[in-house]
Amino acid sequence: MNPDDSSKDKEQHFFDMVEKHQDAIFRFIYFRVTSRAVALDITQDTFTKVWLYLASGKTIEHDEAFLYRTARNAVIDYFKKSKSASLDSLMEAGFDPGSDKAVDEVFRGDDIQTVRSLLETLDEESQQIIYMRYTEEKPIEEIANLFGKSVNAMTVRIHRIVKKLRTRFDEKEQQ
Amino acid sequence: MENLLSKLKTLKEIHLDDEERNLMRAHAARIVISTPVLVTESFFQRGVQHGLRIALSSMLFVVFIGGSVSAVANNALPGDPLYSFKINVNEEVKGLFLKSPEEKVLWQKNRIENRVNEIQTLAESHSLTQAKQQTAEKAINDHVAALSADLTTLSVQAPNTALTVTASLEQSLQANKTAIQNSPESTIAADTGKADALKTVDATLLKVSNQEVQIIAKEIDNINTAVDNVPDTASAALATDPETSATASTAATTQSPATAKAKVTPIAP
Repeated sequence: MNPDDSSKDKEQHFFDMVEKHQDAIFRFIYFRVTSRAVALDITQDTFTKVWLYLASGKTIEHDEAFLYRTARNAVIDYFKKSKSASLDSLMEAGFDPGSDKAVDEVFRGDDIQTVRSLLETLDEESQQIIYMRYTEEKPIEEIANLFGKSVNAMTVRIHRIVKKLRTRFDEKEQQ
Repeated sequence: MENLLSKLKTLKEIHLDDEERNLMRAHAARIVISTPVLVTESFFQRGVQHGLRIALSSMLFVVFIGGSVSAVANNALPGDPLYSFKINVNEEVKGLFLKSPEEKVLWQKNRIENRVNEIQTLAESHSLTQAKQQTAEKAINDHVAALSADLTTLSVQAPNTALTVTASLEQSLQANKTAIQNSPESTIAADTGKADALKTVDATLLKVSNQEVQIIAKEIDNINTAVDNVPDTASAALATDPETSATASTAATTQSPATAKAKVTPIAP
């Protein structure tokens, strides 16, 4: 294959990925960081990493799995970096809590707030698994593939996470 | 709990607005432009290219060194370290590109002339030693042998050209001989260069003359064979034809072809 052709193919592949998955990746990140501006920033960062990977001559077999894995790592990096970040620094980064755009209306619903507060008690990976299963409504096989686990292991994992959430929900209700 | 979790699917309504989508596209285009795809080559391609690079550099090195040696060797005289390179490489390589017998004969002739010129140069500079003379003589002998073989081929196809070449070579050798004879005598008593050089030139001249005689003898043989093949009736017709009688002698018309052949005898060498 002509190197130029390969280069053009990769560019087209990347642009197609952006068009197809930008909403899902943005949503996935937004669900975790709850700041629209920060989510947009991390989404861009995610696609930058994906392009750098492609441009280095490597190939991606499963686009979606690769994108979610990259987005997951980007979110983890973000939390590691901003663990001690103040609200001021978040605002400097573009977070505007007063803006209509900063937090979508759907996040403000009571049920969502409850689930989100429960999810906050889980580890990062468990939160993402729940998001994939209940927000994106992905089949267990796909989630297992995204997280590099077997279908059985993922089924058990989801069951345990839901059980844990139920326990915590009951505890909260009793309080 | 399942009911509560199912509420999460309402989050699917979240999506980028047009402005954000355009921002994402612009960002994607910018990073693609700023970081072009790295063109990677397979291990095989790299290996082949590496091999080609080595081969090319080796070839350039050989051409450079070989070219330099060849250029220096062109001026070498008998006794010089590069003299054998000049005779066995430089000149032989030129010979490889010659196809027709004419070209080969002329090339051998030039080689003989060059060897004699070298002897002349050494004799004039009073540096012709026995060893140098032997080297040149050996080369001349080889060239004459090769010339003889080429002349044999050429004399069949173009005898006149073969004779012209030998005559020209003879003339050139005679000129060399005269030049050596006219060169000033060495003041060094032990120097016998001039005499040795003349001896070599004379020997070469003799070989070339012999070659010339052989070509002529062969040509005469050919004429005799042609005469043998002329039928008797043709001779009779020639005798009765008044148009040709002016040029044909009476004796020739009455004699047999065998008698006519006896009249054309080869010149003794």
